[in-house]
Formats: sequence, C-alpha cells, structure tokens
Amino acid sequence: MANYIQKRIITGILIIVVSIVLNFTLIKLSPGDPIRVLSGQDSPSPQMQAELTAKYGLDQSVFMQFINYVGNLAKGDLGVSILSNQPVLKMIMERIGPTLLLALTTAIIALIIGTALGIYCARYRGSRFDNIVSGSSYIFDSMPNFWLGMMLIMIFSSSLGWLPTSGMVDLRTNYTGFNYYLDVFKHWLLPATTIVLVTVPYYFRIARSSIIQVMSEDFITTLRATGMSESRIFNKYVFKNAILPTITVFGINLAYIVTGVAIVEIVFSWPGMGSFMLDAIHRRDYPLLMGIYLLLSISVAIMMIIVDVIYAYLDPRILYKER
Amino acid sequence: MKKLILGIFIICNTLLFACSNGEAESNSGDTLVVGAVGDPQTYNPDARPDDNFYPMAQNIYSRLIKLNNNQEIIPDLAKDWEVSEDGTEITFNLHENITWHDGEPFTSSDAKFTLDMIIEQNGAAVDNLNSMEKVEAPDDNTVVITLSQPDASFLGYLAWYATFIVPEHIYDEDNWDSGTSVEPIGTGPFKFVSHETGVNVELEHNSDYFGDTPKVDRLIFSINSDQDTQIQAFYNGEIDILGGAPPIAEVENIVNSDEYKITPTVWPSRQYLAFNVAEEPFNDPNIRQAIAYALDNEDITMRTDGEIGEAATHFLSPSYEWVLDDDYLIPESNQELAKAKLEETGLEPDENGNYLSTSIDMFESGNFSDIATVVKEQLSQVGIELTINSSEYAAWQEKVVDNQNFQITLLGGYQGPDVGAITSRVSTTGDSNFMGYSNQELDELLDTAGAIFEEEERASYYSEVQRILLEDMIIYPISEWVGSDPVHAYIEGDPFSEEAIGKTGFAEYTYVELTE
Repeated sequence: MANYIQKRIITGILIIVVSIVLNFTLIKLSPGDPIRVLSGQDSPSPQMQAELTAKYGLDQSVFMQFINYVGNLAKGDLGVSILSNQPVLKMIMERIGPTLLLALTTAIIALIIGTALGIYCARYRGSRFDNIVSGSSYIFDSMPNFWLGMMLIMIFSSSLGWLPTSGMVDLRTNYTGFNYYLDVFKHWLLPATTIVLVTVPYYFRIARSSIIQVMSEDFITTLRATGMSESRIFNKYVFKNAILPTITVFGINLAYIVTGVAIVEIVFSWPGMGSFMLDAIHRRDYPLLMGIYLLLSISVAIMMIIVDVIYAYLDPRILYKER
Repeated sequence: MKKLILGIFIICNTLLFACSNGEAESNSGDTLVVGAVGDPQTYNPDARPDDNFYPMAQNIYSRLIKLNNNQEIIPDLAKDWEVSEDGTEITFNLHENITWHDGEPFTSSDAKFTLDMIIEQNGAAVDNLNSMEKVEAPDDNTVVITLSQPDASFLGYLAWYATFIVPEHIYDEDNWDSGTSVEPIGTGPFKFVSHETGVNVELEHNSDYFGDTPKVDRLIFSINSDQDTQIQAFYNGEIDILGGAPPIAEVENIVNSDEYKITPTVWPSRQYLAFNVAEEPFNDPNIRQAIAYALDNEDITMRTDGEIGEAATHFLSPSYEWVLDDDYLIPESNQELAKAKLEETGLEPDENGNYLSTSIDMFESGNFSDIATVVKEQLSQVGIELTINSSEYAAWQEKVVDNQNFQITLLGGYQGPDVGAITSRVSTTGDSNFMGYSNQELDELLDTAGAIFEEEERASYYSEVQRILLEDMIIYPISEWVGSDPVHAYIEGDPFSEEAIGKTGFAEYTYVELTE
C-alpha cells in the first residue's frame, strides 16, 4: 500500500509541474496585455506603456519571466497582483473561505441526498417514486445553474421576500454571535439550493445504476440462493461494491471545488473565487491567474491521490493489478 | 426514507423561521446602501483608472474644482478661481482650515504635490493635463497653474477624472501606485472605514467636512458581481440606490412604479461606429455613406435602449448644445439611396442580393451586442452582409487598436468634459483614432478651436468640424449614453435630484436622506 501511495504522489507532483508550464504558456499565448488594460485607455501613450511594462517585468523574454516565476514559486512566493499590488497568496486566502464554505457543504449534501435517493430508487426500481425522481433528475440536470439561481432569487427573494437575494451577510446591520451565523445561513440557502439541485442528479443516477448493475450480478443471485435476507445482501455486499463510482465522481467534484461553483457565486454575489477569477482573466492579471491555476492544479492532484487511495482500500483488486 | 425527508423538511423550516426572527444589533443613525459593480483595485484614485473605486473616491476625496451632474464646473476645494487675460494662468483660492480625514491640515502644497505627481508618475490624467506647465503654491490657500498654451479644455479635465487631491504626508514615489495597500485618506464628505473583498466598502460621514455635512451616517457600497442580481437586490430593498443604469428590460418597470424614482440624463458619452478607412472597402467614402443611409439610428436606439434612449442627431455630443449645427445633421435613413451609393462604386449584387460582406468588431459592454445585432439586421435590408465578431476587451484591444485588423468597430466612451474631447477620436494623432484617418484641414480646425475660450467664436470652428465629419463619414454616431441611477422613492437628495444637482457630482451622496 505504501508503495502504491508513493507512486500516486509522484504522479501528482508531475501533474502539478506540467500544469505550471502549460498554464504559463497558455496565459502568455492568449491575446491581450495587462498593461494596456491597466492604463484604462483604448490606446495609451507608448512611453507610459513602456514604463509600466518594465515595472512589472514584462519587458523580459517569456523564458526569463518563466524562470523568475518558478524561482519565486520555489521560495513560496506567488507574486504580486498587477491589479491591486497585493500579494497573490493573501488575495486568494481572503476569497477562498466563502468558496469552500459554499462548495464543501453543498458537495456533501448533494452526495448524501443523491446517493440516498439513488439507493432507494434502485431497490424499488419502477415504483412511482422512482419514476418521479428519475424524471425530475433529468430536468434539473439539464437546467443551467445560473438560470435556476435567478429563478430562485425571483421567487424566494423578490416575490416572497423570504430570503436575501445575494451576498453573504446583511450590510445594514452588524450581527454578532449566533445571529451572525444565522445571517450567513440565510444568505447561503439559495445558492446552496441551486448547487444541490443541479448536482444531486449526478450522484443519484450513478448510485442508482451501479446498484442495479451490482444487484444483477451472479454472486448476488448465488447469495439469494443461500437464503440470505435481502437487506443483509444489500448492506453487506451490494452497497460496498456499488459505492465505488460515486466516490470517483465525488472526488472529481471536490478537485474542482475552488472554481466549480464560480457561476453560482457570481449570480448570488457570493464573495468567493468566482467573480475574482473572472476579473483576473478579463484584466490579464498574470500573477493572480497563475496563482489561481496553481491552486486548482494542486487540488486536482491531491484529490486524485486521495480518490485512488480510497479506491484501493475499498477494492483490493486494484493493488494486485498494480503489482 | 419518508421519515428522513420529513425530518429534513422540519429542520429546514425551523431554521427558516429562526432566521426571519433573528434579532438585529442595529446601529443608530441612517445607513445608505448603494450598489457597486466590483472591488476597488487602487485606493489612490489618481494613480491609475479604476472605475470600481470611482464612485467611492467621489465621496472620500475632493478636487480643486469638480463637475456636477449637468457637466458644469463647480467649486470644490477651491471656492473660486480666475483665468488670466492670455488664458495661460489660472489662480485658485482655496477654502480655509480644511483637514484631512486623519486630522492633518490640508494646504495648497498638497494640491501642488498631487498635480506634480500625476505628471511624474504617469497618473491616469497625465494625457488630459498635458498643457500644464507648472503648479505653484504661493501661500497656504492659493494654487496657481501655468499652462504652456491657452487650453479651453483644461478646466474641464482638471474637474474630471483622476485629479483628486491626495495627501502629501501619505504618498511618495514608492507608494504612489500601491494598489489597495495604503488606506485612502481624503478631504471629502465621507471617511473610509473598511473594505471586505467581494462584499462591501464602508464609509462614515465626515463631521469636519468643509462643505455641508452629509445627512446619512454610514454609506455602504454593496459589491454585486451580477447586474441581474443587483437589480433584484434593489427591488428587494437590500440596496437603496442601484449605483448604475438598470438592465434595459427593467427600465419600464422602474419608470412606471411608484416605489422608485429615476432621472434619465444624457451624458457626453455616445455609442458610434468607426470605419477602418485605411483598407478596402471603407477607404471609399461612398461605401461609408451607403452604410449611413442604410442605418436608422432612431430605430436602433429604440430597440436597444427602450423608452429612455436618445438617438444621436449631430456629429458632436448634445451636451454641448452651443456648438451643434443643424446644417450638418446625421443623414436620415434612406435604403434606396444606400443601394444607389453602393451601385455608384461599381458593386453588383450577388445571387443572394448581397453587394458587400463585411464585419464588425466589438467587445462585450453594456448594450453593444444588442446594437450590433440591430445594425446587422438593418444592413441586410440593403444587401450588406455583416458578421459580428464579439470578444472580451483585452482581445478586442489587441486586434482593433494594436493591429488595426478590423473593418467596422463599435465604440463608446466619454466625449467630455469639454467639446474638444472629439479631437482625440478623429484627429490624426488622436489617441482613440485607430481608423487610419488623417485630414489636415480637420486637424487645424480642432487645434484652433481648442485654444479659444469665447463660445460663439469657438462654435464657428466646430461647425466646420461637423461639416467635415458629415462629408467624410468616418464615424456614424448611434446613440447617446443616458445615465440613470434608480433610487427607492424614500430617498431624497440623490445626485440627480433638484436639491443636489448644482452642488454634487456623479455618485456623490452628501445630500441623500432616507425619509422613511
């Protein structure tokens, strides 16, 4: 097992290194220039442009810029944002909390609800409940999340006035203690509902179909022939086998946790990474963009390692194949 | 399973109920919440252009002189000023006993420091102030600016963008352009309190302000990343003042409702088409004129701006009514004439009836994509096929401005604070002229007009400018930018209101009161 984990970690590091190179190249290849955007004019004077370009080290060759970047990275320095002159790491840290709060809670809720519904519907396949849930899962799956979010705002905020439309806290009143958490919860409900509603169908369909598949396998028929009770077969044999694909999807989802809920964040003005990232792209803030992409690559690599390890633990056949 | 669902339902309901009854530790005094589109990028409002911080800076900082919402120059730190006979020396008399928000005294030396730094450090206003030769501070309450030549636009530019006076005791060469790392200290009606990224910027009223003390205690800019959500937050009462023009689909709703007030105001900013005259096919004036005849800008405006829209009628902004010449109006739509013009150039319709295929380059901004769509539809009626190339700003800038790789482009932007601003868009050396257009006669007229202060004499030169713009048809003005900023009916004294309009500038909330 230790050997297996070691191999996975090496692969993970390779992925991060390759993505640093790719990110850097792709960002430099895209049209547009941060200095031009910074100047705020359609066509800034050449002198102003040259001074700013030199100030941000963009007058050096792309290769030198890359060497400098990697050198600083090795020292743990992600650079300084061209936009706000603040350290990139500090800016990301300010924004990542709300994103994690929204993305993690909704990922777990969607996983639980989706899987529970999937299991229930698989066991009572063809029932009226199964038909209703399966049918609506397609509806929510095909719904764009920004549209669903806007609909929820119009219903629950603008028309009914039950919940705030956007943001994370009430700006007029400074709540403290328990009331503060309640206030955040109130603001969290609509974006969270939006994300949960569009994510549940994934987990639901995967759980449902893998359980149906496992239940039709020969060894289950054999177990039934031994006279073992349906619930015991299910709990002891079906569940463990059928949950594997769900864990993969959950892991992949978590890997994109930093950016996966960006659009919903923008719709609800949730102060996370969403609009922050979009802004960085529009203004070609290279250091900030590189920082966000680096974070993304690292989280993808780490989640892949974790998922692989859990997989190996749940299904020892994987370890045998590796040898 | 059913029990589980029921359980979750009950928990959610309990929490919801609990939420709606949450007790507030409310603050005393009034809080005004205004919508904002994004986080400030720089707290030094002169260092670089930052539209996100601009409305906040309007309340935190002061200038020597400022523009009110009617685009007129009004006093700010300077209570009055005089221009010398020859037009090259301007003397400003400042208010006395002004203090910065941190308690330090403000003097004329801060003003000199700021204006010098804008030039030295390539501040955002450096091009606008290029006729400024030197700034002197003979005593604590006097500032004298000497110009290299008479410049009728100078006072307007000084009163406009990125000319806020900043404290000499805070800034130096090293921290001048330091983004958001130095907290803003101004002399304006509101003091900076805090900024939480992605959430809000909070200001409190400055009881030592040299002008009238603001009526609200706290001014909060609520950062909303999505325009459609922002308007819903406004309807829901989370925002008192929208903080910008509403989405076009919502205008009718706001205009017809008793709950809101809206005061549409035409700004010296307009949307227009610009042709690349250096290349085929638009190097031929006949084809440019054919486009002008094919288009109906009243129809475009009606369909893209709705009932508050204002179609362009002249080649110069209607904010400068005194220069408008009715002899040189934008031509009225005439499809027959458009086709005749195309045929005059020797073009023949192909099997689909198309004389010409061309493209328009634009970036995503406001109603640009709506305008392009209607333009495409109107041109198709005279046999001109238009492809719309839409990109984001940075990519557009590289393609159109740097590489001049375009045929038609859609532009907008401020054409003030003085009518002379048209120079940068159409003169040979103009910063915003990337059409490849050069007309010596026009350049000379613009130069001469720029140095004349007397309106009637100046207007005669701009008549000629309009004549040339009509003849050459290098730009086709579509619509005026109509500024509107809806407020709830309980708000009095917003910058567009009768009470405030002579005294405050854009997004300045000194006179705002919550009457409920």
